Amino acid sequence: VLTVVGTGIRAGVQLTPEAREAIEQADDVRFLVAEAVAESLIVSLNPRARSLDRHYRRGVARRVAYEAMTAEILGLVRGGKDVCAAFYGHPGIFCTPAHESVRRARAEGFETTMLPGISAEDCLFADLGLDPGVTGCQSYEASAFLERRPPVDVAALLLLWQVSVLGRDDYVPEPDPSGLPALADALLAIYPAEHEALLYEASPYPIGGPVVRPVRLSELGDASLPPLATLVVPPSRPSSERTAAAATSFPFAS
Amino acid sequence: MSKSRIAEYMALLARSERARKAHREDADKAMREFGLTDEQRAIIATKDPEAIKEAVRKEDPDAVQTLAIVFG
Repeated sequence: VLTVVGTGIRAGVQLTPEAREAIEQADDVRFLVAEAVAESLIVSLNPRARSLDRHYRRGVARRVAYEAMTAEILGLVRGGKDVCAAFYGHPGIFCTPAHESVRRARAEGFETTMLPGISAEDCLFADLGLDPGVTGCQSYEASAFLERRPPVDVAALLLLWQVSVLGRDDYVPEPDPSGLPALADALLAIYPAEHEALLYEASPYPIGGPVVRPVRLSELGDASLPPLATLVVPPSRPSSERTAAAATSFPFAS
Repeated sequence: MSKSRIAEYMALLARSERARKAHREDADKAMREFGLTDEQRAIIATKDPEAIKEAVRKEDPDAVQTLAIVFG
């Protein structure tokens, strides 16, 4: 049996009751979280829990680590154990080893369940007071956005994820800002230079607010990046009177 | 267990509803009772995750945040 769960972003307080139960009751737990506080919580819930972060190797393609994480999880499932794999945030969002573990386990006939968690995007909408329903929302992994250059609706919100590893498919232990100038150029071809975006990172702690850094697109190339930053680009023009207010304000950003 | 008292306090808050209630009701008293110094309490009182992370890193250089990207 394989249960894949999300732990939420803020340690402890965003763990759902069903995810907590799955972690506590599993024969074995493998997890990947971004912060030592979340790690200590999971180990306190199930002493057999073990982190998957040892599979990362500096300079080695991240997909090699994802494959090793998936193989480790599947190995436990094949051994007949009731296994819980826990990933920070939501396990179905930007999480290759979670999806791949479920896919392979199902293909081999094992019972599998994925339980949702509170994602970084959920935190972003709450922390910044944004509602994606008002203007619409475009959401891309930043490297894929830069590579594919999809058409952008400037009347809708644009979210770019993983800007701290832009253009990198290998593991780096610290944010790499070297791809930011190229992203800035791409956005400046679409938006005015003075258009202000936000670099956002949800708090990993049970108390406290998020990291929010306003940045003009003309200055994005030199911006300092929080490790797990998301770039939030508001609409540069309203699509209707109804969306005008939402298009021009970040109510909780200041 | 972390060598950082700030990280230990955060871990307690993550684990314990009772600790979170005590922190909500009187954060300074709860932190004093846990044994945090004036400086540690001041850092937590900022509620700034970057300041907290930096302080944890100074207290326990091994408690490094993982850039745990799992996509792409």
